[in-house]
Amino acid sequence: MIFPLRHKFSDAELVEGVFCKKSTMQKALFDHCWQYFDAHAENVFFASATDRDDIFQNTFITLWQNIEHRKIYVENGVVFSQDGLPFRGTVTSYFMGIARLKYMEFVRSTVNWVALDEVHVYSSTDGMKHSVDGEPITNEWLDTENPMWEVVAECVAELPERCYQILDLFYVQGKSLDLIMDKLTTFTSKDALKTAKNKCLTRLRQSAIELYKTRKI
Amino acid sequence: MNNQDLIDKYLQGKMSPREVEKFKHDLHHDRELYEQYKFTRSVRHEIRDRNEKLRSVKSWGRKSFNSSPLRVVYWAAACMVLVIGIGVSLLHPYSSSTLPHSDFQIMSDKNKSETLQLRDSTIHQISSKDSLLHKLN
Repeated sequence: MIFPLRHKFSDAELVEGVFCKKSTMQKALFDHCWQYFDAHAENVFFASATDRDDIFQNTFITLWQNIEHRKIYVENGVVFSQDGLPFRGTVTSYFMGIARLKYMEFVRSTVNWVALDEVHVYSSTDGMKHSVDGEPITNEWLDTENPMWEVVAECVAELPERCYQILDLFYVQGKSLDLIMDKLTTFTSKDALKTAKNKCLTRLRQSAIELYKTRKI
Repeated sequence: MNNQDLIDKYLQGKMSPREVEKFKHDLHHDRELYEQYKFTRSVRHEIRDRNEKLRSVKSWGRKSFNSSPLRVVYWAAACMVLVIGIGVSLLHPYSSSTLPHSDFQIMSDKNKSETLQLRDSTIHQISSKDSLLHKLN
């Protein structure tokens, strides 16, 4: 043990602390996961140090979101998974499970991401918009009990850098298209920027629906 | 103006009160508009949430990624060895016993042989003087 004086939290304490949004526990969980990841990642994930750091960051954010959305939770000092069964492994093994999925995504390098020209949302005779395979776009995210948030979060995490920038500037920072154009100098016209923003959003939505369908299967 | 334009205008607070009223009415009656609105809001929420988490992770990571506790220990040990080494060398500067082949050693050997030669020649001169005196007497 490197720092014997440091208090080691149990998995239940960490999960409960993060769920209660305690910043000290968020940091403690981060350190806990990082130490484990740092010790094992080199032999498990064959990627550059920078890519491993990215995998770690994305994995940790997913774990954090899973705790906040009660995909894993604590009851009477015991960690439970979403299916209501007590956790058989540790939080770090759960973390590494997510990390493996992130790594696989990294290796495939083809995120469940619909190419721009594959998007053909059109209005049919019934007046509703339909997805590429002709099925009506469902309103899954209207149901608060439905874990649609998860796929949206995952698709947001996989957004191309440029799309993320545009959507962040427009929807989160509330910047106007003119200001975004000043910042992202590659756009020659406001219309081009607006089209790009809408395409990013359509692709994101399409990807979320596709991912949700595969998860349900 | 398409649905997304309307949603964007509403989310950016650029609608007049009358437009807001109409938009809210449409949300209740147009399922597609409502769906798109909820999705856009969820995207905004997820990006904001991810930004906040990334900020925290990066601030913690800056320390952890660059210097895990084990690496700190290694660096501390290396620094201590270096400091001790410098200290020892300062306390015993160029000792002939620790530096057997130093220039000082060569110089001292040279001096020793010269001294011995001088001693021998002096003894020789004294003894020759003694023998001359003895002859004269």
